[in-house]
Amino acid sequence: MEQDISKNQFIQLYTNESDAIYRFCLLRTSDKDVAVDLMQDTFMRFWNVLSQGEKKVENKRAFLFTVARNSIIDWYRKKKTLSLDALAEGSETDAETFMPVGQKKEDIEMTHEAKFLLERIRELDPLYQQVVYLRFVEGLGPKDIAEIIGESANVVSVRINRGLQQLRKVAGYDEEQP
Amino acid sequence: MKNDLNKGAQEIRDIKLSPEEKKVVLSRLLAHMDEHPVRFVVSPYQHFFHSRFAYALAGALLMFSVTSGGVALASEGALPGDLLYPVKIYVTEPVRGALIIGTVQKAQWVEEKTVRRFDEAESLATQGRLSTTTIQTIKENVEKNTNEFHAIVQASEAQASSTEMERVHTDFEKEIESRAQILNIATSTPRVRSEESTRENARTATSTSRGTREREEEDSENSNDRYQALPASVIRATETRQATSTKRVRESDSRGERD
Repeated sequence: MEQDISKNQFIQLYTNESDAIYRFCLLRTSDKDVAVDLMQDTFMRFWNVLSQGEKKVENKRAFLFTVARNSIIDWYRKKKTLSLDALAEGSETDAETFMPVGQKKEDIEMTHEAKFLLERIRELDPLYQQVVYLRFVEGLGPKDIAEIIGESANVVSVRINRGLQQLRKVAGYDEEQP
Repeated sequence: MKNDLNKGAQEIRDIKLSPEEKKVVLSRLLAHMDEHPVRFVVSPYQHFFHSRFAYALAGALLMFSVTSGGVALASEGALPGDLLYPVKIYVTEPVRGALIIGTVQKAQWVEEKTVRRFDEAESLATQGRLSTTTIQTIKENVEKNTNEFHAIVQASEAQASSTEMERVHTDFEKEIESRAQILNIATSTPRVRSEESTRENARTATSTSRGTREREEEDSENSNDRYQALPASVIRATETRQATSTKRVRESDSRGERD
């Protein structure tokens, strides 16, 4: 009975959040198959936490993004140890950037506006890329983002403001104002 | 330009898994869930249990419900002299009686309580635990029940005569007549442990020295001896009852003669 309730809740969560997690993984790895694997791994890890009941997950969405982010970092680390090329290219910051050029293997089907925004995000300081994406695209609040990247809500609020300013600047938005 | 950024954000949100990919991953997840079943489910009341007071309160409630329910249940089988017997007499039975509605049902319940007292006397006799103290306890309770029963009957007759009440009344008298003997026998059983006085001991010894058959014959010969062990009020009530029924028989006989 309890098992069924947890399962139903989990399936509901998967239905609502799987696209966002997949998208996050895809835009960070530029690889569809890897993104699907990482998304699946994220939900499996989440189920393990839920089934063991060792940790109380209050903000499920933020927790999923946290797990996904850690999975992506792990994937980059593993890849780095296996690939001498990647080591040579110095992909130290790839784990924290969007659609790193070195990783781009295939064209992700998206509209001109989507591509434009992602390219502008990629031009931002790596420190601001994730917070801007999570705030501006996924609509997460500073508190949720703080939980995901492991910083305080104040630090995240400052990064969001500075990141959005930088985004307007790189997008030429500031040029319109005198 | 600003609109382009907003539109871009909307277009990025449209990047989704294909329905097939979603299904495949879900099936893998379901298999994983079966392999790793839930061992612990977070209770919605978990926050309540964060305080020590809540733990203490829950513990106290649990203990109270377990002990009170358990004690009440255990007391049902208690016999005079047992620790839980007062719970049976002063708590469980009065509560049960208070929940009964209807005078006939109340009278039946008092009858059942009286039967229980006789059952207790029999159980004590079987276990060899009958003593003057326990017999006294049973006698007092039987007297109390008899008074209670007659009060109910009188109140009922004052309102309206009922054949059902009449039947319960007859049953009650029969029960008293047939089972009062246990108290009588009990006082003359060798297993009885006299606790009162040497006089009581002497009387018991004399009684036990006589043969059981002889005693039984004596009992059957003298009907008044049948009530020897009963409280005076019970005997009075039974005698009144017998007198009433004899009077009724005589009246019907005389009516029959007249006819």
